[in-house]
Amino acid sequence: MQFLKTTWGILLVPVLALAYGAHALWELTTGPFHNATIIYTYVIAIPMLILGAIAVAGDLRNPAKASEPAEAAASGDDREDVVKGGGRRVALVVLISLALISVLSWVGYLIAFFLFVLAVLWAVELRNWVAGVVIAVIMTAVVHFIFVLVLGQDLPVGILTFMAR
Amino acid sequence: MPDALFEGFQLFLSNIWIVPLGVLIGMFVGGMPGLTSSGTLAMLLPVLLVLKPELGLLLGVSIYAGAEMGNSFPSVMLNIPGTAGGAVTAFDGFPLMKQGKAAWALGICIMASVVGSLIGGLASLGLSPQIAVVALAFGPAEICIVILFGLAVIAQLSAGGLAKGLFAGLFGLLLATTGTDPTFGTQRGTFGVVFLFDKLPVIAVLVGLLGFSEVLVYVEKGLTRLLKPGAEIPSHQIGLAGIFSGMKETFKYPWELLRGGAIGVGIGAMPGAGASVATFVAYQQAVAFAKPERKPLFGKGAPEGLIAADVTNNAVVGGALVPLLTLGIPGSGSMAVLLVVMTYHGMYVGPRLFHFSGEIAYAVLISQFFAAGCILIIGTVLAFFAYRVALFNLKMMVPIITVFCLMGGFARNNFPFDMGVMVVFGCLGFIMKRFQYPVVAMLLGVILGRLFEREFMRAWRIGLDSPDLFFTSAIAQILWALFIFTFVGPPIIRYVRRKLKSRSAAE
Repeated sequence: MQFLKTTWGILLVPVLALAYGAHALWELTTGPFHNATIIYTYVIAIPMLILGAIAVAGDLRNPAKASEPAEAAASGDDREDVVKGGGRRVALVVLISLALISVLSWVGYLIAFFLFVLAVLWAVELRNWVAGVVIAVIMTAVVHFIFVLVLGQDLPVGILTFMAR
Repeated sequence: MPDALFEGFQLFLSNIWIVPLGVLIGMFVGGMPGLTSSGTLAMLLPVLLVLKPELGLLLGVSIYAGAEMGNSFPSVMLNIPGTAGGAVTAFDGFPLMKQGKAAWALGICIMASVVGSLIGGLASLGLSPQIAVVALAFGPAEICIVILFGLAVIAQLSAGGLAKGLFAGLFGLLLATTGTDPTFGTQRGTFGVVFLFDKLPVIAVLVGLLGFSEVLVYVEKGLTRLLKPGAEIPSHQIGLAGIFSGMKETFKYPWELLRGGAIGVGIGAMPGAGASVATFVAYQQAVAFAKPERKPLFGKGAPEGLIAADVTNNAVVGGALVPLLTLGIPGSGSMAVLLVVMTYHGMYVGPRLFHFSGEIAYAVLISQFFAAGCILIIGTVLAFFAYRVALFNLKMMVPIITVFCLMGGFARNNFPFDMGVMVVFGCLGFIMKRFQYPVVAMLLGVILGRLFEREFMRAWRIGLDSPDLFFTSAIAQILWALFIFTFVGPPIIRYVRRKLKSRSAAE
């Protein structure tokens, strides 16, 4: 996570907010918005942009302090047993999650969740494949039993069309 | 009234079996991220309508009560709140879990929920008419100020400073405007994405910001256990001993219990406010009234914070019954389902309910006391098994928690798109935590944003396109004074204390 230690990393959240705030304000000029909606958006967006600028100015003055993982420190989580390669693991878990979402409708939840669990276990470097397959089967069964059978959720069955209700 | 009360008690006794069933279903529902008590009641509506009216109403209220306790389990164990109302439980519950005090924390949650149910039951049984009058005095402007009040106090707790806290809260409020304008029906911030036309999926955002971001933090660290190396759970914190010790701990904070109960009943009685507003306000009040040396502990495992959240959660149930039974106004989605049950069976809805169907109304009110007992027993049994999650290999837990996070995002609307929203907000929460932006403030903004906007618009329109209404009523003025005091009060108090100290030292 080297990127998060740079100035660009510090700017990431405020820039996102700035972009969204600017878009919200610009959007007000494009449609038939009621006066109250316009005022509400101004009341929220303008103070947000000002406070964002103050926060960024503070962080840029002291970049080292800005990237302290506050919540972890706050909860007493300044651990020594941290394993290197964290950025790669985080990126892999996020990418695998996004991959699951994009193929879910196509392959169906049974296959997708089974493969997802195996892939995430690989990403977090748990290389006990027997345990991995057991967890994957159990989690797929849990999803099927709790969410589909008990709660009646409409998960996509994908290529396993015989499961369609 | 005594006759109706007696008949209601008899009616309750003859249908008592449905209460534990409802509490069990509710705890299960509350524990599942993305599933709300109102959604489950809506799904169960065909069943509730087929049952006799008293059975349907007793089942509905029991499910609601059980869900408000059940949402504490995933909040404490996994930092994934089952419902918006459970988000505050995670603030102090999850840090306690990481300190090896999961059983203790769950014991606090259970006992606080039981006390909350009892307070809610007593208040709704004894004070229904009075509470209804006070609650209805809170108009749209007052509700807006209450929300701002909560946002300001949460921002003040931010480790990154007040500017970052307020910024995150306002960003949350702005994100909540995504979708269709609740008053005028125009669309904003959807970027043409059809899944956002309604609104930003709040549960997906909530699960992402709190749950998935935490998963990413642990994935980054590559840890194998939630507990610190060498840290073991003390024997008195394990199993029933830990749960009972937590239960005992709850009674060391009688003011938090009473204050949270009163807030829960009061806000629960306000139509449209609900548990999410009540728990944030109760938490903020617990912080405001805490001793200076206890304040830094909030968010790191303060039992006061956990008690405030859980007692309020369950007191809301009793509060929400007040406008439903006395005025026929549902205070929440769950109560709206119960209103449907009442009207389906031809019950009189409104101030004369106690005159025409008093025995059913009293049976429902009395059932809350038995539901409290069921919460105690069923909750203890579930907690006995649940706290063991702390001992699992974290690497194995990562895919399990992630699957629940993904399903939490999906469950509300059944859109895979919402899973994507969950992942995006998980990443955002991960980055925010890194740079000391409080995710909780943003969460509060997103959760309460729609309510805040709707009430803002109502106040604006009632005030004939002017902000007068926000400043004219006596309640609004008192709330503004309290709001300003949250900013200027602490420095003034510190200044006065310093002066007094230096004077006494000089003497």
